[in-house]
Amino acid sequence: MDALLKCENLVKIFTQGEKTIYAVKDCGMTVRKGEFAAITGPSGSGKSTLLNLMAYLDTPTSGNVFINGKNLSELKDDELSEFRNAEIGFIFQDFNLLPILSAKENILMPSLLSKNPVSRSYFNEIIELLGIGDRLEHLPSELSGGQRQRVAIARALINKPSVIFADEPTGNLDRENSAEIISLMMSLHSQGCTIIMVTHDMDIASKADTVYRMTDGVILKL
Amino acid sequence: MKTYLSYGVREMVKRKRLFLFIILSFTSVMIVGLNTGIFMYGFLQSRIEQAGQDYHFMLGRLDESDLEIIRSVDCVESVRGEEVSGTVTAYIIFKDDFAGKFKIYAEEVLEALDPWERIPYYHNEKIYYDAAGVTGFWFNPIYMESYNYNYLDISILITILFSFAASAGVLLCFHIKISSTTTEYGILSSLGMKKRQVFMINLLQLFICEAISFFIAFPISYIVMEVSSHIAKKNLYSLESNLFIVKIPYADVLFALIFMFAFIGFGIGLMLKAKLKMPINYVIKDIKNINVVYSGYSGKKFEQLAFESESEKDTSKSSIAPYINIYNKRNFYGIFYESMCRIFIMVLPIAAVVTSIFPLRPMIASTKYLNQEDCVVIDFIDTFNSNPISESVKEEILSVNGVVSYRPEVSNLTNETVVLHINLDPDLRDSALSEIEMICDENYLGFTNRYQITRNIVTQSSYYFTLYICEGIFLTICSGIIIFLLNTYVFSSRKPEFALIRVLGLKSDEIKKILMRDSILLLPAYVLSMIIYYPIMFKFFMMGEFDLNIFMYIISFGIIQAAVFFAVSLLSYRYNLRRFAKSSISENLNKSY
Ligand SMILES: Nc1ncnc2c1ncn2[C@@H]1O[C@H](COP(=O)(O)OP(=O)(O)OP(=O)(O)O)[C@@H](O)[C@H]1O
Ligand SMILES: [Mg+2]
Repeated sequence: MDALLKCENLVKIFTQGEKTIYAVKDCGMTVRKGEFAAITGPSGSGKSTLLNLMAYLDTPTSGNVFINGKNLSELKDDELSEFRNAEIGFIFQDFNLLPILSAKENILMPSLLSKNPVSRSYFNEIIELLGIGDRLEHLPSELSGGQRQRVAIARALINKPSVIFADEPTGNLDRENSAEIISLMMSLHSQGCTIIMVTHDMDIASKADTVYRMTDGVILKL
Repeated sequence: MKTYLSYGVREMVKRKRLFLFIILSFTSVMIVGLNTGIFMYGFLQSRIEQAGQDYHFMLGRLDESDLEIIRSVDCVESVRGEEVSGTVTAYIIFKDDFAGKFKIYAEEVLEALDPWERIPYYHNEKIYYDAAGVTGFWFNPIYMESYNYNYLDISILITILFSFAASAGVLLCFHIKISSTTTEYGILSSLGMKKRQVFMINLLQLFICEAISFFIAFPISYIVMEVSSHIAKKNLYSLESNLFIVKIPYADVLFALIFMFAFIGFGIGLMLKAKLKMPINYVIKDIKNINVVYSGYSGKKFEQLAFESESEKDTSKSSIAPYINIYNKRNFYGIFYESMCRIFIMVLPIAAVVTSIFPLRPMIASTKYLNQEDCVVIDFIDTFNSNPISESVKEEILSVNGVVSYRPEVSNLTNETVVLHINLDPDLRDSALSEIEMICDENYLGFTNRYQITRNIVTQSSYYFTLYICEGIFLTICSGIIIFLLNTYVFSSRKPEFALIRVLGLKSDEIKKILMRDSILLLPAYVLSMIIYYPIMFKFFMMGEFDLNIFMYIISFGIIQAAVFFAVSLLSYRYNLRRFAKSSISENLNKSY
């Protein structure tokens, strides 16, 4: 078993004044290369926080994250940046598009930062898959929620990362669109891409290789 | 308080740093203004009004009945007659010590006197104030008229000009605030808040900011002014009231406060009107906030570098450059406003220093006799015995408090004249004179009982120099702090954006590049502020018969100021980058004002 991502004893505590919030409590999970893992759970249970920790967008209070056997906390800052750029695609719950860039430029941003720019054919392939070809010149503020979601997905895919973290990527889409996105992700998955997805949709979760359930910061493999 | 207004107060509490930035800019602007005001007003007062308090209106060759007549004139507060060899000189204090009316009062007094008493003095221009022996300056009615005219006019003109410039600066800070909260105004509108109420919230915030700033700025200005003038006065052997008194121009300050509130309030109204005129959902999306000059800049380079086939990617070169280009070109107005902000911050301190001297220019030019060489000269002659004044007497005289120097002037067998330099301070002078008189009596020395002032025709440069340097240093510190805060604020508002690009793979080093490019973009603002200001200043100074030293001071002040601002900018970036690196990406992603 090829462990692509492994986290051990992950803990994240937020303190706000006298209040202490245990967002993630002692989480351990292992994701194989090419695995499609789904994380479900009620709102506020710590799913987004866990995803942030795994992509090292947030530093854990304690615990370690390994990707491809590398301990992320031991990587230098620049290495981490390169690693994020090349190996990780992150789809945020609230899109997080750069407001001054057009849809196209938003999608191309990771490629701009990369040592290996993307080919035009791959770019076309992605936007065709996502069906946003006629909205490329628009700014995020001029796009609908679903369109923004797709731009965010396209941006996560553009550098062909080895693992995609997706925080409810279909939360803003109707059934049809949502199914399209999922089948897109499934095809990526079949090409060997590892996907870790937070979702409320049980249909989607059922397509995953592994399903985890989070409650009150504690993760459980189903 | 209306309930919707409490939202405004709550916002101030929640967005502490943003409002702190506004308050501090406001405070600094006020400090600059108050300093200018206090300085200018204090100086003018000392030249005009203080003179009226200190010195008397003096007539000569009168008798007791004339004094009675003068006493009965309405404008006269008191009259004191002093007889010297049969001629009574009347010292008059007017009820109103405003020198602007002295000429009128003088004429009233002369009108009351018999014609034969009146004519010689008036025609011989003997109406004068006995200003510590400084004659010739005050007795000329034309002088009085022109200075008072200048004073009233220029004081109000400068107050308006200054308030206008200061308001524009603060308005720019408010623009930053309104731009970053447009979305919220949209949301509030969607919940039923009226545009008028949004405006009232902002007015309330403006009022609170202005009030807090005033209570910080007022004591600071006062202390700075006191300290500066204290340091400047250290080596000064001059009548202090001839130079400067720290006095607060209450009317001007009040006027400026109201003017600034009205002007900024009006500006806020216009800004909100422009922002909120779109349909609510556009306001929420704040589409116009990103001033996209879209057709003007297609971002071709961006695409070329992003796609592999179109260009050989040079990995040694910064890959973030195209993004910076796009950002700067599409955020044209943002950069414009920020640049304007900086121009104001840069120009204000030096403007304060220079405008405060401008109305005083003719006065400084005619105050040439006041410098540390100025002193009272006393002749006293050893007529009683023909011996030279003994060493012990000399020692005794020199030990009198207020005596600055002792210099034998004429010495022959029968008499010896000694020139004593005595401090010009009136109290000190009086006590010193009576002590010297006593010493003279004891040693049988003839004391002329008259004194005169020697005047060295030198500009009072050391005093003004020190004062300007103190002022300059302080004001530079003030504006340096604002630059720091402005940088910090701008950086903070871009934190989520930087964090997001970090998620996409940007190295933390390259954020430095973004900041550097930003600084370079703001360079024209600094250069422009220099270009605006220095020629004007040069002209002022040439008009004022100032020597080259002062001009050199202004130039070096500018250079030092620029250097300080540059250093502060670097420091603030360093500080902010460190803080940015300390917090995690997800934290920075969510942090915004
Ligand atoms: N920066 C923070 N400071 C304090 N508490 C936080 C912070 N971020 C998250 N939390 C808290 O941590 C808990 C988990 O938050 P998280 O965003 O991970 O939930 P989630 O499972 O993703 O919920 P949802 O399904 O609604 O997105 C919540 O109770 C939240 O309030
Ligand atoms: Mg979440």
